[in-house]
Amino acid sequence: MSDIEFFLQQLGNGVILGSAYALIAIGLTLVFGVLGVINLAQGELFMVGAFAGLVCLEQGFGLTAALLAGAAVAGGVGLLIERIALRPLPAGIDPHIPMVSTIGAAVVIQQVTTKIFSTRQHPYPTPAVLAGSVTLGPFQLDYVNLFIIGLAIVLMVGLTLLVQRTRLGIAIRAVAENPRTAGLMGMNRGFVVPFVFGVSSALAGLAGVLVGIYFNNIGPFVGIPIGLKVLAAVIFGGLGSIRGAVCASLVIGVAEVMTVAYVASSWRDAVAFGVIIVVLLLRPVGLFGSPVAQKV
Amino acid sequence: MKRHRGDPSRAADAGFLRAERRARLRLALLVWIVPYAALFAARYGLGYAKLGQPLSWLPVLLGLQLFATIGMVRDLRHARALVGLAALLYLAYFSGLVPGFAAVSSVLPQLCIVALMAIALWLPFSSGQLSLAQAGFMALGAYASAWLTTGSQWPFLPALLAGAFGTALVGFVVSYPALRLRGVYLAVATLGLGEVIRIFFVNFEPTGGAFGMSGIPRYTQTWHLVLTLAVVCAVLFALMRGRIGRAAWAVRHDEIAAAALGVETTRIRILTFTLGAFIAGLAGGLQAHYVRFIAPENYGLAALIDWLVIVMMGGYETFVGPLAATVVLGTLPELMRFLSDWRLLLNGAILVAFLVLRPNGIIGRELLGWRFSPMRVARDGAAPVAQPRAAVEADASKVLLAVEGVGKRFGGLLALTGVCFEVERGQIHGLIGPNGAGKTTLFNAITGLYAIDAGSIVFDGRPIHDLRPQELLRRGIARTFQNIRLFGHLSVLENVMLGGHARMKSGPLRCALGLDRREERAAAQRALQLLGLLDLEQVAGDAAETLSYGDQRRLEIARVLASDPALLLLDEPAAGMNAAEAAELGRLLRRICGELGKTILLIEHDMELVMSLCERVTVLDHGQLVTSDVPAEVQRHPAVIAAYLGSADTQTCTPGAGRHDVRVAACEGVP
Repeated sequence: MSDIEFFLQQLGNGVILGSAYALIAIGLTLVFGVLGVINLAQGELFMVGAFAGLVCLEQGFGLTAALLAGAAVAGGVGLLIERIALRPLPAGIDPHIPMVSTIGAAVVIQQVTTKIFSTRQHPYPTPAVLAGSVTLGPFQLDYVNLFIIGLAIVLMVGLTLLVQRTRLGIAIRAVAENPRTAGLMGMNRGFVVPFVFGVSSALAGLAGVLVGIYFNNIGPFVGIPIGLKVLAAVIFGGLGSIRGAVCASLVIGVAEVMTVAYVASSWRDAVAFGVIIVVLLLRPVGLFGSPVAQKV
Repeated sequence: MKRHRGDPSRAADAGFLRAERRARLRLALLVWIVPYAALFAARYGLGYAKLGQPLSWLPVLLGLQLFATIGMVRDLRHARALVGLAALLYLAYFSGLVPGFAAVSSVLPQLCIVALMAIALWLPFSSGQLSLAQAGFMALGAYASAWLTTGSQWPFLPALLAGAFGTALVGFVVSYPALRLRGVYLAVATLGLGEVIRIFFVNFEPTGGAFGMSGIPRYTQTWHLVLTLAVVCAVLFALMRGRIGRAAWAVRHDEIAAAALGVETTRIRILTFTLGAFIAGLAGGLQAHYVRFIAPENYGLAALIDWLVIVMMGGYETFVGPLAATVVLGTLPELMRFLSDWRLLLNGAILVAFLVLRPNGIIGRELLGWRFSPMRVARDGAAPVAQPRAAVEADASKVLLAVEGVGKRFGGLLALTGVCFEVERGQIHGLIGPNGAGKTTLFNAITGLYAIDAGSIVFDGRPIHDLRPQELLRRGIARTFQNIRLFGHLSVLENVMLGGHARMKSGPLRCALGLDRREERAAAQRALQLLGLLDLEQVAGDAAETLSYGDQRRLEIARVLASDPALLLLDEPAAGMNAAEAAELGRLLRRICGELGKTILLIEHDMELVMSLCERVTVLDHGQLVTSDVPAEVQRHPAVIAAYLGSADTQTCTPGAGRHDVRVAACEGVP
């Protein structure tokens, strides 16, 4: 394989990984938008979804069932986090506290998973539908990869339309902008916040199934590194911005794959953190964020 | 009088109280019955029989339960009694009085290290910076000192100190860019930094890479650790109860208000961040030479989460919270060996449970109030000689503040254009205008919060528009805010003492060595005097947030007076007051002007107050000066009437009618 082909292959891998990250990142950024909370348990939701999908695939239920199970279980766990670890916190609390609370939730989820599935890596079966590939010129495109990118694009477009075009989307944006006024306008924050949390978690769960199929294995400890990388992407893109989260996820996915290919795999996690630090120092609001003036 | 924790207005509501009592009853059941039921079920139902020696873990479980109960109790006295009980329990436990358990000495070193790290995490947080790089800093200290003792054969103490100071240097360097970041952004960036440090050591072959470094000599004795912890605690106690501690609190809760009170916010943030790194490095060095083997994985997220749990559960208002939680949580893993598989799970669950139960942590500041409050200091000792600044010097010029052609734009919006007026020494000068006229913008420009785009501001003969808020405060310009910006959890007295921050001199070193006591006492007594002047003496020990609205407004004035300014800028001091309160405020302002010799520039929508109180009134509209004159002339000025009532052709501006309209306008301005 020539150098340029290798490079393009890696680029493709990076885009696939990045689009999976993007699914998780969108959830993180949406939750930050409506709640103002960085949900550090997002990576664990990804992991939970992957395991739910794994159980389905192992039982022979097929791809659709696995995706649905991943989304449903992760969504359910996400709702539990919102209900137990976030909602009881009083309004106007120090903004660090909800974030720390989600760290606690993340630890609990991770530990419960290790109790159920043990701490080892589990092989992830490729569903029969996705076995095989098409050849396009010099490139061989696996169905798996095409499916991941396709589904990611469909979900991203769908979610953007939901937020931009629908009545519910207006409510979501209104709550994000100003919860109190949104409440006075008759928008039900008690519904919008759990809804957004549930959808975000379900997306992370879907991404979990996709990444599991892509890497052919899953372990209970992937949540933390994935969560941090996605966090890097969201900050890179600008907290609260969907567009930014998607673009930055692709950048981070590609950068990570390239680091593994050209540097060393032990540095792969450092890339994301390096990005966080550099971005925060150069442009703290991220690529697509806008600075918020503080009223005096 | 019963003193309740939390919001007293909520406690007053009977229905709410009943519901809350039921909720607390449920919590009590959960805390006191469920753990034992679960253990019994595990033992006899599931046959999970490895409960170990009950006597060895029972006291620890009891301690945790007591701690949780402290969080549930609303009455301060009961809470303190429970703290005492828990202290007794742990004292008995640590002194080996509990039969069946004598291995405390094996827990103690680890406990000290965890306590140091919890404090290292808490210190930057005390000024509002959640630094999640502390695990990385600990790794730096550990690797540096271990490298020096094993590789370069240094003796222990120099190696330890070199590691700690090296880490502090890194922390110091990092703290500068960290200044640009706030809140969760800083937390995330430092989380990244900590991981980068860890990944660096994974890839750094000279120190063993991912496999770690072994064969480090065991130099650390238990007494080293105990002594270090004791010294750190003593220093922090002295440091945080005085001027620096108050400043850190102010920075944490409201950086803008802190800057307006003359607190060097940058310095405070750098100081606490660097000190935190220093302690982390020290703990790292001590730990490396105790466990004799270090590896990058020890400095990952798991360790960080342990300390976070401790800080958040114990309470981050003082260092006592993390310390107490270290004792409670730090004894858990060693002793509940039979639950060791579940340790992390329990940690996570405890973290969430305690945050939900008491988001500010168990050991709040008010629980320890009597130690950390300056009330006692203020009450004893001789009355100080009142020494107000000689306000009007004989040869001083009449004009104290001159605003000369000031302009300020926000994007395309011209907030101020060519504003000129003068404030004369010893006068009360009113600044009025409809909402959005640019009054508060002008205040922000004068006090250095906004940089002006055109013109100049001259105070006492010198241009001041390039100075920062802190420098302006030292020159004698102090302000209050339109939306009250008090430090709600601090006592009324401490709020006023914060006002005197810039007039006090004790730096971190003096405070840490306890050499600031005399100055503290003088400041406290002066603050009490000021409170007396404003009729707030009776509530000096109460938390500022418990005061009525009018009292809070007056407290803000007391607080700016504490900085002994020549010029007071008051932004709507009468907002939300009724007519009688406003009249009382007017008398008070006149006294401040007359007896203390201050000059006052005030924004106010209460026209009756402005017209009766001020010697001169400046009117702004749409960022431009309308007029600056004596009140009678201003009231007749056609442009003023037009600005307030829209048009001047038929209506005559009687003060009463005008006031009504202005009141309505003022209400719209309330956020």
